[in-house]
Amino acid sequence: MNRPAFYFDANACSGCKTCQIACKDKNDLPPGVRWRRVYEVTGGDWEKQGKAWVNNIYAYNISLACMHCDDPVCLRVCPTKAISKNENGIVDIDPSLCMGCKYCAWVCPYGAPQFNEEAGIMTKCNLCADYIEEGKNPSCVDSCPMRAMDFGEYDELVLKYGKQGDIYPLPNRHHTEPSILVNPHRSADHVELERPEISNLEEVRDA
Amino acid sequence: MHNNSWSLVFFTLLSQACAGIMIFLAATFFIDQQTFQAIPTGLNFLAPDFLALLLMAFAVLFSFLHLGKPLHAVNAINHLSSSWLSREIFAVLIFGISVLSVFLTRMFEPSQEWLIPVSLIFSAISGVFLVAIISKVYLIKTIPPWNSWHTPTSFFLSALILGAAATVLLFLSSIGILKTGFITPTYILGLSWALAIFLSIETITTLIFHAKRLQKSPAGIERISFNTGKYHTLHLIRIFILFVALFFTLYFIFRLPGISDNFQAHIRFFAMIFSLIVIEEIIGRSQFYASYYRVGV
Repeated sequence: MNRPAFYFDANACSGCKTCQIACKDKNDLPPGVRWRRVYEVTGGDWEKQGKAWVNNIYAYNISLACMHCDDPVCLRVCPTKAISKNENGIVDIDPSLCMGCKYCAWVCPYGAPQFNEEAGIMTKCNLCADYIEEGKNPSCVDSCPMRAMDFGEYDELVLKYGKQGDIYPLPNRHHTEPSILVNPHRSADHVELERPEISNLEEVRDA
Repeated sequence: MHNNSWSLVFFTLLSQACAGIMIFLAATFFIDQQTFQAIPTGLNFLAPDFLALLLMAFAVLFSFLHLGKPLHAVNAINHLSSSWLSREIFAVLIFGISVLSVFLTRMFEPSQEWLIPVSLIFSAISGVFLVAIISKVYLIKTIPPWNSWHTPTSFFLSALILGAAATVLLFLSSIGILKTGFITPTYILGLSWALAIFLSIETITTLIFHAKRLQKSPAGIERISFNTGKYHTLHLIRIFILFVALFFTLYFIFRLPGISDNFQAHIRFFAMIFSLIVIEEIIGRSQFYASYYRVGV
């Protein structure tokens, strides 16, 4: 693989967090460390139109892990060269080099590198590299009961799903060129008008 | 505070204070030789270079507290080609060596007289580079509150304010304890005026930056509010302390000509100003780290 990538369909995701649990289970992650997180986006309000009250309330979920970016900012700033990109396009952390300075966690706009208190180092999604070598998908993708996720070579996913738009709360792509395609939720249009909330912020905030 | 950044508050402030002390020590050599000759040397807490060495050692210790795996810190300069954090650690090493060279040359007074000015210039320049590189570590596109003109401005002002204040206090104490009388009050007066100017600039730039920040809605998912709660209260307290420190510094300047009458009172008064400045700088730096949010999630 040159550029492994995820596809995420925000219209299909029910927010069940099976992907999150599958990731924790597969990688035996300690409490607080979540390589994959599901963000619950909510917004809208009620307004009076004539004698009636109508609402434009909406909610959708977005499941995020490391984007294994084409231009990973974490790799650029890591002082120890612990973060590297291998021949399969996977951005990974070498635990023998990482000193746990957390600088990568500061700069990553996707909250991907997370500090493991027990090990004293940064850790992050490695795309279930062992599964990929066996020709399987990462555990999060295959665990999704709604089939909201897909995995593959970035260019092939673009051919399969088309170039998709990004939705809140994803940042502008130019920062890191993330390897993800998102089918935006139908309610995501509202986001341009008002800033929605992440209703499970305490849960998904940095560990 | 985000990511338990207290160790970084003290690492950055201490290293910037040391850079400031070395800049003013070098300046003293070239501006007032009489004062420079009277500055204590060697293992003396009133010797600016020895104090800077000690503070740098503490700064490095604080930086280690921030690490999850301190033993892996030997890898910290592996990525000089693109990581500003790697360059920062390298700059700390270079600056530490330069301060040590000043300390040794002043203590042993080698026959080659040129060694002292060369080591002083080396330490002042490496101090300026250190502050600049520390600033660059925080100029990150994905972190809008730090990616601003105010980051290098406030870091350089911290170096100059802490450096000037520490130098004035050390020089006053040297007069008081050693009773050398060679440290000229005129030079201390000049340093105090410089301090008053730096404090004024700090107050103005902090107020401007805060006002501009309130006009923008923070990006990212965190709902940080800069005009309510603890952050705003601390901002007001810091501005108040800055005004008080500035007022007291001006009062000190106008009372200084009578230094020979009661220098102990002058030392006590300036020690109070120095304490106010240290408190104000700690509040300012902790607010800097507390203002963290990034684009995205």
